Amino acid sequence: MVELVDNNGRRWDIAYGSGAEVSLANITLDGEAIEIGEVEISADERAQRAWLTIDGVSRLVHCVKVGDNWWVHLDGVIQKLTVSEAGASGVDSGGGLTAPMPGKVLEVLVEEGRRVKVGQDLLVLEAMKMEHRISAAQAGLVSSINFQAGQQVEAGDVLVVIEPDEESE
Amino acid sequence: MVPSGPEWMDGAKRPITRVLVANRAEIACRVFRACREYGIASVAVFSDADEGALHVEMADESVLLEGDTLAETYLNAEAILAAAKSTGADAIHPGYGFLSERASFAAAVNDASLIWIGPSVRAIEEMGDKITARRVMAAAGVPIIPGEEMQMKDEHSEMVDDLVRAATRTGYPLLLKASAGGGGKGMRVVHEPRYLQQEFKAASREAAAAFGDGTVYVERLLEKSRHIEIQILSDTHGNAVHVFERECSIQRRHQKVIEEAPSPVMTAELREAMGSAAIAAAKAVDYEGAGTVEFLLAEDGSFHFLEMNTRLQVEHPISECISGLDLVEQQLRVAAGLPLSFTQDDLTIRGHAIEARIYAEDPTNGFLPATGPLAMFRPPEGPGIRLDTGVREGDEASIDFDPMLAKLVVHAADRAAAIRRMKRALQDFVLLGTTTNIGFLADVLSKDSFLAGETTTDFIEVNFPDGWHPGCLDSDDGEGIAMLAALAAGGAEHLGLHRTATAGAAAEGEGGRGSPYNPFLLLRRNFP
Repeated sequence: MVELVDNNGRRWDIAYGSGAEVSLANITLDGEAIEIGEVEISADERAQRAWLTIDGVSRLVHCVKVGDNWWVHLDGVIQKLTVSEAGASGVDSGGGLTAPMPGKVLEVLVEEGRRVKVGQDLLVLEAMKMEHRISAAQAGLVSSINFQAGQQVEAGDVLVVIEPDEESE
Repeated sequence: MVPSGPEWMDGAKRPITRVLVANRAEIACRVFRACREYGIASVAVFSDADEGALHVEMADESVLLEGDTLAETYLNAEAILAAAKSTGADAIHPGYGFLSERASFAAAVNDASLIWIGPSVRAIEEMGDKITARRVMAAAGVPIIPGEEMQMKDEHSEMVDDLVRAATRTGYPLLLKASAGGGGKGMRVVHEPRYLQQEFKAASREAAAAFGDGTVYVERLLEKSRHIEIQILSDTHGNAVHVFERECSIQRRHQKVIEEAPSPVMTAELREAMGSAAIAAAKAVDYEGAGTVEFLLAEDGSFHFLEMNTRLQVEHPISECISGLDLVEQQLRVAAGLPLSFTQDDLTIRGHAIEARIYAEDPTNGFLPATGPLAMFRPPEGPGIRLDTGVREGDEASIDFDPMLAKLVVHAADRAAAIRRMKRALQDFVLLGTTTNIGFLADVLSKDSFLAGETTTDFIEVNFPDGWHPGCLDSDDGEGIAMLAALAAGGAEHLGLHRTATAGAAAEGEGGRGSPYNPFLLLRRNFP
């Protein structure tokens, strides 16, 4: 079974049958089973392409896996689905704020131990010649600031950790 | 002895035989193509980060600019001039961005007895400084927007007072713009006085970092306006024409994402008036070559001078589509000293063209730049489709440069057909491995308001008030298409497709069953 999280955070569990016959055994969306017709998948001779057949209608799919993400182009739409390991919790529940891209911290606007509101600017990041203001996604207490002005950050680096307020669930 | 250029350049005062492009990516490729077509040799410059880049591959020869920073490489006038000397280039095309609007660079090119493919040093100086440009325009009778200039000094209180007074005189909402700027850098909208200082600081800092000049311009923000620009062409013999307008109102972060020509609201009278104003602007500075005069068209039909770009614009292809001109060819002709071979009356608008800028960026997260591999890059094809790009499959969207990956341009008989064509082309674009704005662009074109031509500069905020996410225009919030993708991705994972070799690197060895060189495989291929 493959667990996937789509662009909009929906969780899909997909199970194909084993053996030469590669037809769908079942599919669930956020834990709910979905009724669907006959689904088959087969690889194309060319790399990174597959044929998805639903009730006899086939469509070509371009698909590439980069890291944990499957990038899929079908029916004129590009989507990214993240493979999540079974058992791992999908959502990052910590209050850590990560750098959306590599760049340089220009200015830190808060101090450790301060309480911040939702949307409050925490720091200014410069990347690709533009300034970007990183703001708090939740209210809480700033428990640590991991970078100072002038420091380089990599995408995914935790910049600021916020302990969420009790009431803001 | 004067070297002779290609035959079409016979009689030119300064024939061009070899062009060095002081730029990279798609615009360098664009110029190299024109050079090839018109029988001119080409030279690329590149930095370490661009080793093996498409533009290097496309030029006849290339020179490495050593160093890590932009200042050491693409902004290094000295090194670029040395590259021109060592390769025997006789002309320099600056593209857009980088050194294209640095008067000092144009002067250095002239001093080195090379041909500068662009306007005079004086024209760049006067138009490059927004304050001077406004003064010159006002004197030439071209309407301007109310506003004034602010120098970034130390944070003296008098400076703050000056700023507040200037802002009050200009009126809110207002726009802070880098005087030396462009491309949305050093630009901030201020809706309320309490954000004035903070935004001024940010704008000035960005301006100083990007352009080496922290002077900021305070300007009234005209809401519900359209960004309409006029392409002009002037030669060195006193002839000037306009090549109609481009509407570039669809912007995010003050950067254009979709442009079209002609504008859906243009009338013959308005085009005549704006075209004449643009030509007056060009003549006021004895402009030479291709340039663009940008205007804001207000709701009441009045238009105001924004700025003049003394270079080729990113969105020039749409003007080429509707006019049939090759603007780079025209730049080469003018730089060689040839007169324009046509007059205003010879130019007519043919059909409608749209450009969509494909960016490596995340439209669900404030359009922040994204990075990653271009693991699959299959651009659309078919009639009326043009792709200007500097990347290909296997390249990387990196943090080093501007995140624009490609310009997708369509041309069709009329606006409705062009919109249909662009939607189809965007849907056919297979670009996997990096987050891009392709889905967002397709949704912009799907909006009834876009079809109706209601393209004001606040289009994105008005039409996507809650932001954008994939499937947000679908009745099921994209669940149906997500399910198909999940079935495909789940199947691909199940089949282990990520473990099979890509076509370019067959793991089973040359001639093996899975090899792309196996001719029998070709027999069974499907070409959708």
